[in-house]
Amino acid sequence: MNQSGSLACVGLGMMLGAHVSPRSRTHIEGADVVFVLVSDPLVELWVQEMRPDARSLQPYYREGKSRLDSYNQMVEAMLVEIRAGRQVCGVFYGHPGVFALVPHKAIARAREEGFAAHMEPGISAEDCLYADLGIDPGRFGCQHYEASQLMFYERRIDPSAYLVLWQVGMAGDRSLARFSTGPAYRQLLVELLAQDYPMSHPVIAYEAATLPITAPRMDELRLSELATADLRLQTTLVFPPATPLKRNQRMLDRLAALDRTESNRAESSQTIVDVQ
Amino acid sequence: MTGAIGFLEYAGRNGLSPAQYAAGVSLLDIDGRQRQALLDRDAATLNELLGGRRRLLFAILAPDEDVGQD
Repeated sequence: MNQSGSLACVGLGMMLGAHVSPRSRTHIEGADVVFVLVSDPLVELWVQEMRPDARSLQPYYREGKSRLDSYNQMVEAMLVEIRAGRQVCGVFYGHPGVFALVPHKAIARAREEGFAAHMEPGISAEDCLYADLGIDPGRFGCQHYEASQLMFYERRIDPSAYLVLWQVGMAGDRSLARFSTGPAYRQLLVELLAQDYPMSHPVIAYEAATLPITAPRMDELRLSELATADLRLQTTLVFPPATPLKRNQRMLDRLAALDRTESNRAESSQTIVDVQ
Repeated sequence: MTGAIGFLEYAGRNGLSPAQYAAGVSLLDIDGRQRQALLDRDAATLNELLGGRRRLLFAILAPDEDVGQD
C-alpha cells in the first residue's frame, strides 16, 4: 500500500453491548473518523458515547430517493476521508458483510485506489436467528434470498431445506426508493411461494433483539397470512422445510461402486506389498 | 461510560438476571424518568428521553443494482 489513509468496516453485532468484538471496538476507539449506520436509535447513541464525533450515515437516506444514490454517497463520504489520509472506521449493525452493499463497495473502492481496507466480522441477524429459533442450517440445508431479488429473478427453491427471506418489508420494490411495500406486493410474493409451499405452511416472522431490554420477535404465521402481516424493514421470514429430504439413489449407487473400486485397489496394493 | 446507555452496555455484556438488572438500575445516578423507562424496559420512552432518532433507516442492500434503473 502506498497511501496513508485506510478503512476498517466493522460489525457491532445485533445487541447493544452483547456482541461487539474487541477488535471492532479497538477500531472504533482508535480511528480518526468514524461513520455509523445501525438499526436501533439507542445503539446509535451508544456508538456516539464511544465516539462523540461519530458521523451518522442516516442523512443520506430519504424516502423517495433511490437507495443506490444513498449507498454511493455513503461510500463516497468514507472515501473522501480516506483520500485525505485518515484512518476511517465504518461501523455497521450486525455483520458488515452480510446483506450489506455499502461496506463491500467502500472496501473495494478503497483498495482500487491503493488504500488498505478490510472488514471485521460481527454477529449477524442470521447468527441470532439460528440461536433464537434453534435452527441448525446444516440439518436440512438453508437457502437465503433477498425477498425482492427472489421475485425479480427465476430462482429454484428447494422446499426440503430451510428458506430464509430478508428485507420482506419492502418486497417487490423496484424503485429502490421506498422502505416498505403494501399487501398487494406481498400477495405476489405469497403467490410465488405458493408454487413450492402449501398456503397453510408455517412461517416464522423473526426480528433479532437489538437491546438487552427487548426480546426477539418470533411470530408463527401461515403463508396465507403473509400479505397482511406486520412485516417491517427488520423482519426476516423463516420457512421450515415442507418436504422430506429425498435420497439421490443414483448418486449413492455411483458412490458405492466407487467405494468398491477403491477397496479392491487397496487390497491389490496390499497383496503386492505382502509378496515383496 | 455512565448513565442509561452505559448501563445498557453493561446489561448486554453480562446478561443480567432480573434481580441483578433491577439492582443495577437502582444504583444509577440518572433522571427518574430514565430510571422508570429502564425498569419498564421501555425502549421507545428511553430513546425519547435520551434524544435518540425517532426513525432509523438501515437497509444497505439493493436486491438488484439494475432493476431500479428501467
